[in-house]
Amino acid sequence: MSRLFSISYLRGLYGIASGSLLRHRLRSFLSILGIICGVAAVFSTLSIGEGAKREVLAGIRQLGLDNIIVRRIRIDESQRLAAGESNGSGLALKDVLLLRSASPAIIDVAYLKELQVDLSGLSKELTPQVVACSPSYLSIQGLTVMRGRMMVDTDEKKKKTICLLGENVAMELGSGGNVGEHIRIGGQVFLIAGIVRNVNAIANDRQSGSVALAREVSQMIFLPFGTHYYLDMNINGTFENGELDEVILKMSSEENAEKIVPLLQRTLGLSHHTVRDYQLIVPWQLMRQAKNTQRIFNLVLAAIGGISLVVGGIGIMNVLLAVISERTREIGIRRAVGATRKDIIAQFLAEALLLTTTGGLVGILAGFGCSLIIARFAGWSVAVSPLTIVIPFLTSVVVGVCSGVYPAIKAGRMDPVQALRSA
Amino acid sequence: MFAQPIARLRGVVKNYHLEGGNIHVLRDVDFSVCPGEFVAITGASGSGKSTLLHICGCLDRPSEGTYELAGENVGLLSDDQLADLRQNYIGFVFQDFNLLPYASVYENVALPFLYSTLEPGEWKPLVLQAIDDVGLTQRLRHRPSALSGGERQRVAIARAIVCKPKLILADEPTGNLDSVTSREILTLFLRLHDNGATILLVTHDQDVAGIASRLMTMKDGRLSEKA
Repeated sequence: MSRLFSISYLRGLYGIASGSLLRHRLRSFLSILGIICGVAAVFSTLSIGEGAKREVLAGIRQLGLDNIIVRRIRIDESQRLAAGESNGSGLALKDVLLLRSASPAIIDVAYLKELQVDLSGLSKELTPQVVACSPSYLSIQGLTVMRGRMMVDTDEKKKKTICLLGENVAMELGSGGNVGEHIRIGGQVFLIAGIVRNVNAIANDRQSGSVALAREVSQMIFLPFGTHYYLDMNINGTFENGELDEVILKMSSEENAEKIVPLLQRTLGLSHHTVRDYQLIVPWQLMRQAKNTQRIFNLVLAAIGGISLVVGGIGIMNVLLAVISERTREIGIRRAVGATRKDIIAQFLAEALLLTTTGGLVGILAGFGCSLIIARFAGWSVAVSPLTIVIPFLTSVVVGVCSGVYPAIKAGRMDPVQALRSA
Repeated sequence: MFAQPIARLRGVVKNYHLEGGNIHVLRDVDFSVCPGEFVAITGASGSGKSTLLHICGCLDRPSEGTYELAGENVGLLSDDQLADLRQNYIGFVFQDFNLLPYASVYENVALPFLYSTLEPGEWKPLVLQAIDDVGLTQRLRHRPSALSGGERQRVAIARAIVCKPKLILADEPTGNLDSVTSREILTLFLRLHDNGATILLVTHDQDVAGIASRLMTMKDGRLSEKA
């Protein structure tokens, strides 16, 4: 048995196997084509899946796993009347006060109002989102300034007409976008106090539909909350559109973010007279959902890739059976000079393994190429992790062993005398 | 003159079970080969010569009776042990050479060592020596397709002697060769015998059998000694 694992024996075995496969290059290539396609499919789907996962998770993380976001939902008049609520809708500052006192686990609260206003000095391509927010909105989101200063509580209290620009907005404005310059927003002149450092935004919530979870900070203009009452807005934003569009609650921990959800729902339910004109977004839950969805996605992909590999394996088995019937006499010769059944089995298993591992390696390279093409032309995010390489390769090895075992055993069981007499 | 037999068959019977009934290929064969002997077995086609040779070469087992090779009762050995015996005690020379068509002369002769425990450093000189013994040193890298029939049989002989076997079994070694080449091959066998090899040769050709020191005849599965 030990001879089967000696270096010189294995070298000889693989020498025979590679020689045999190289003598029939086209047949060998055609037989591993299925494995190449299967491994390439598994590799590229895993890398696409991994890329999508990272992108979604990064988007969710950007929201802050210890945050809870309350977003306004637009409801129509009939819904509001049906709910018996005739006065106003959406989120309001009174909700902020209620939520702040709902639990000691809430350590900070931020709020924001989206504004639709005219801007001067910007091209039509760039349509920045103008928001009025509490200074805490920037700090809770982890935003910092690259130039100038942050928004502070005094700016909000004194309704100072200052603003912070996203990086792209500042670039678009050119020298007019520097700190200390002025910009006209909704007919009101604002002093540019700072330029917000860009962060990798972004991501829509692909699980729940169309709700944009994170904002494109580089294309935003931040005003202190309250200053928006000075503006000429395209749509007046008090009762019809609610006082606030978003409230963010910062929790003391990620675990608290999940536990406190029922309490928040009760609090808001009472305050809004059961009108569902708000939505609670818990990034921690989204993260868990995204991971579960990804797991299912990966399983489905693995199953599809697995089917291709099984088909590839059957192809290899077919070729090996043909090879064995072609080389029956060779088996007899080898048995006559001292090869045991195990030697013959090892030889044909080595050929099967060599075929599938070659197919696996070529498949990984092909899959890598496919991923690059997909990333380039479809614009999808792809990511290669060690698992995206190891899983398809090991699967190809397992397929090699499985597809080689039956032909190899069949070869090993041949009667040497019959084998020598074969044509 | 001779010591303990290298191969001894006692009451060996070989039957094949076919649909039409049993075929008795060997009937009660008692026979032994001692070290240094050159034995030839002649007989008509289908008389059981090759079957006897396959049993002697541990490629087949008797249906009844015992076969001892170098004192070992072959009937009691496992398949792997038989493979070991073939490698260490037996060298085969076949009528149609049975060389690997894609392998060179060197690789064909070295084939038995793939299944041995020897390291390449130990067996490489043996391979070169065996090839030199059959006069094919110049054709080391050539494939069988580039060789004549006589040269192919020389390669087969080199492969048979490379492990220095106790018994060389030759099955119609000149059957596919012309008369001139046959004489060359027979001369090679005689040289091997002179150097101490034990040879068991089966042939239907009385002239070929004539070079052996001991002659036996196989008829209808029964073996008899010729005077």
